[in-house]
Amino acid sequence: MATLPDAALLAAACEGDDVAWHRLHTTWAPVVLGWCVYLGGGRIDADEAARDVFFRLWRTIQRIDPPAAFKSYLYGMTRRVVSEHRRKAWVRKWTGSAVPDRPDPHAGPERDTAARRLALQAQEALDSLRASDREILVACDVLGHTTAEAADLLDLSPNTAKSRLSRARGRFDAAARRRGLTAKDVVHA
Amino acid sequence: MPDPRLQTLRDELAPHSARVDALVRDLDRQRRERVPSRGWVLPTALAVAACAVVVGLLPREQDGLGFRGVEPIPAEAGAADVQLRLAVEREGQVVSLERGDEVVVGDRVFFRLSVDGPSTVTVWVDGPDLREALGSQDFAGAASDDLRGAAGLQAWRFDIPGRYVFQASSTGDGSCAPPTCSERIVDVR
Repeated sequence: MATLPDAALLAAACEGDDVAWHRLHTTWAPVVLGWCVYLGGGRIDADEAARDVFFRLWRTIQRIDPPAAFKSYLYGMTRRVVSEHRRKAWVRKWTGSAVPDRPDPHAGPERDTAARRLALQAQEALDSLRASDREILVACDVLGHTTAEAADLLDLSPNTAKSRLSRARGRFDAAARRRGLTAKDVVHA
Repeated sequence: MPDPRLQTLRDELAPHSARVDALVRDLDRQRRERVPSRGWVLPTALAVAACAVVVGLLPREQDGLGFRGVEPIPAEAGAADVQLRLAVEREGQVVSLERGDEVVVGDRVFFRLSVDGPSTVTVWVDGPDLREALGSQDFAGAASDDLRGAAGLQAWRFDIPGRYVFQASSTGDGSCAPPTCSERIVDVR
């Protein structure tokens, strides 16, 4: 779990301190990348999206107050950036793009393994859900947050997070089954 | 209970995580390029002001050096912070071009722009034998997009070896100073 920056670190970053920014990049780039990978799914270039998140953070970090709000602020920014990237990917899909717009990070001999195929099916099912369902599932079932932590991150009440998670699991199950992916497939893989 | 099918997605992060160190290095570098340290702000501002006074006193010439192909953006257009990233097409895939990556004659590059506010960004290239504007992109607000022309994504093919400097600026005055201009240098073999 990434440690929240304290007030001194945020103040130093606001002042443009290189060391403070390096610490923020080192601590939070993997977190943001994870959010981008799972929320964006196979449709976007997660590395590009993560860069865009930090690009915006550089200019807006002074808005974060108190420091405890850092994580939810960064998550909100990531959510907006990922949403923009998904929208553009959707437009490109229907208007036709001259070239593929993202490399396959899995290029290599392992790409055709059974586990990878299952993951792609699961990702497709996740991608087909509405954003609110996808977010709670990614937070709890992929990234391993508790519902309380997810509620904090997504700015929900704990009860809302619980009920949303339950509904989202049901919708994911239906979406996965439509793609022929059952829980048994994963257990046997 | 977390859905086991979603657990299969955890491995999706691994190929991205392997590149986190490079991402952090790149973020550190790009932020430093965009945000000059505070000690330089005053001298730079004074130098710019002095230049402005000198230029204002010089007689104006109608036929100065200009862009080929695209008109410069009027000075009153918004000047947002700009980030330029390059992507190169190889074997039908477009991959991000990182500093030090090998580029050869015949490769095509594409241009990914990020801005933090409403602006018009012009991209141009300084090559071994030319200086040419490649196109402009309008942004209604903070966003990222590929540079496009009337026919789709705008690309540039390297036809002779040498050093190419790509710049993207929201100021439209032909200068390139961070953070309203972003520069990428490519050595083509």
